[in-house]
Amino acid sequence: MSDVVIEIEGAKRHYTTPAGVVKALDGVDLTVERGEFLAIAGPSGSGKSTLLNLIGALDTPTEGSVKIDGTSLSEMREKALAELRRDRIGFVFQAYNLIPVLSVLENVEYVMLLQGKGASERHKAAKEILAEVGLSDMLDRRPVELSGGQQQRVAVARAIAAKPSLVLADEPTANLDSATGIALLEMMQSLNKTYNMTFVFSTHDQEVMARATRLIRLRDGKIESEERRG
Amino acid sequence: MIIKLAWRNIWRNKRRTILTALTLTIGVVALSMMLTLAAGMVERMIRVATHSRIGDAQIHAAHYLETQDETLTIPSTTALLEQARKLPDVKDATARSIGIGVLSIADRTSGIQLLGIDPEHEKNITNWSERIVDGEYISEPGQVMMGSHLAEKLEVEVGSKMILTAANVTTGETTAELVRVKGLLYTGDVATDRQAAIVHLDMAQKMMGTRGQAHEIVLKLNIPIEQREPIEAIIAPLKRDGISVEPWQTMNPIVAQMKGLMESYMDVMVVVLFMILAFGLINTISMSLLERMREFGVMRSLGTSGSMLAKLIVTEAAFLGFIGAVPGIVCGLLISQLLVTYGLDFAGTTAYGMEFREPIYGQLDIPGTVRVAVMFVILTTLVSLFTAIRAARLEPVEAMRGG
Ligand SMILES: Nc1ncnc2c1ncn2[C@@H]1O[C@H](COP(=O)(O)OP(=O)(O)OP(=O)(O)O)[C@@H](O)[C@H]1O
Ligand SMILES: [Mg+2]
Repeated sequence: MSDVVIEIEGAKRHYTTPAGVVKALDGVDLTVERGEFLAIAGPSGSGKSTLLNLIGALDTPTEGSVKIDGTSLSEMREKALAELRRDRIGFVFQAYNLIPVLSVLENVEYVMLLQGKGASERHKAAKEILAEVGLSDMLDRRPVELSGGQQQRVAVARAIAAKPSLVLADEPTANLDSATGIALLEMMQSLNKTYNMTFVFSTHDQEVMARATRLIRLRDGKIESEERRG
Repeated sequence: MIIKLAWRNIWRNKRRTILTALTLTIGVVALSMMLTLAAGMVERMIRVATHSRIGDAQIHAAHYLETQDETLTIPSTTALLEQARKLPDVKDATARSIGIGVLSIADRTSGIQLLGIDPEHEKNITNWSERIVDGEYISEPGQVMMGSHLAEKLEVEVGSKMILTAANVTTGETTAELVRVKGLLYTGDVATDRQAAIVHLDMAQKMMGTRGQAHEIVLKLNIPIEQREPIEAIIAPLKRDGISVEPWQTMNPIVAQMKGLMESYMDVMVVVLFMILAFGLINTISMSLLERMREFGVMRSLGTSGSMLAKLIVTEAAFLGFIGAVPGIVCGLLISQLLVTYGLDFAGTTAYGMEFREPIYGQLDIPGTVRVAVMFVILTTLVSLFTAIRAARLEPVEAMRGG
């Protein structure tokens, strides 16, 4: 039981629009165990982002429940949710992940700063991670001074710097060329192995899917198929 | 960290920040100048009122002020005068006799207010000795001094001989005396300039039959006189039955209320001016925040709480306020200093029975300017509060989508 990180039961997310109800997610059950490297695939509009947002407590399901480490998100207050995101979850979005007024180093330190960690501890951890993603010589640059791939690497570094138990990544490689994408993915894989961090990410990319320990395919807000690998 | 983030955030769009701050700066400068002028105006009004006639405090027989009854002279004038001069913080005191009379020359006649003064002590009370526009200040009986207005009306000049007629206050018997026009003056007090014939106290008392008894004792103090209370404290020992001892505020309540009136007027101006500025502010602040909704969503996803985000937004607005207000204080006071040094010319304007013949010199109102600036900072912060609360309440995913 202690190995279950995410537990989703009958999750629905419906949007009411002038054109009618959009069923972005329409009854998803999913259990993710610690240390998984889980890929979510599916055509555009199938609900991948919606699902990740529900897991990350960025959004609330219309129906059903989402539990992280055994606690139902619907029972948590705004403050507790903020702390959950801060302490246990790392996010990587498709683009525009970084806080523009902060340098690379400051962006990576941001979460630890929120956690109230001391300056030297923050510096050390952030520099280590940035070295791992190969950005040691860009610590003082602002996000606008980086390429898209470099920005994504900073985003990954930031997501994992505070050693969260769960990293959620919404198409982290979509904006990158395939070589850069693979490098990023390999980095995520090694972190997954080293720290036993759970990774859940959405992707369109076959190569990326091939590296997952489990692959879930969504279609029209439902889980269409599921395969376990390795 | 909020401070660092806020500070960097406001400099993201330098032009917009500077333009927005500039509107605040201009607002503070404008209000600072208005405050300076208003303070100068009030100070001038008080000074004109006290220097040109009423002094800082006055003593009369009881009921004299209401009735203007000439038989109501101050009992034991001399003793009271001496006591007053000995009081701490009393610069000097002088006695005046006031009655009515007629001044005539050839076929021209004018009813006048006969004002008997003690020339030496009067010099310490009013500005009349400095306000001689022609001739000299009077020094002995047989001389008369009058406003240039009155002189023009009677077509007399310095050196003219005139007949002064006045009635004995008890018997009603009239006496006429020959007087020589010694000086023409301009005091700024309309009543004095248009109606008074100023003669030596001895002469006035002889004609009115009130030897040794004055109608009015006027005091000049060594303290700031804007406030009533300190004056009351100094003159309190003079109070006794049968006489009234009052600060200048009683004699000229309109000018006395001026300061308070100006202050409430300025408060209204601050709010009005800010409301005009607020339209621009609300627009820029909410626009720049809307553009950043995605960024707020990212921050929320990293575990930034809604309240911290709100604090950040409010801090940014407060910084913006400061960036506008602090130069506003500095520039406002510097420009106001010009008004203090060079004054503003209102020549020929009459207000509340006093003429402003000289330019109004401003008086720096530093606390007032700072208060205005602080109000601007607070109001700017309040404006941002609405957007801040909205951004804080938004679900992170909604923010990510752009609000
Ligand atoms: N705020 C919203 N209002 C209405 N419909 C929405 C909203 N957000 C998402 N949707 C709809 O929900 C469905 C799922 O969206 P979602 O973003 O999860 O898809 P996705 O699988 O991530 O697609 P993509 O691969 O293009 O990123 C889509 O049909 C989308 O149009
Ligand atoms: Mg998506």
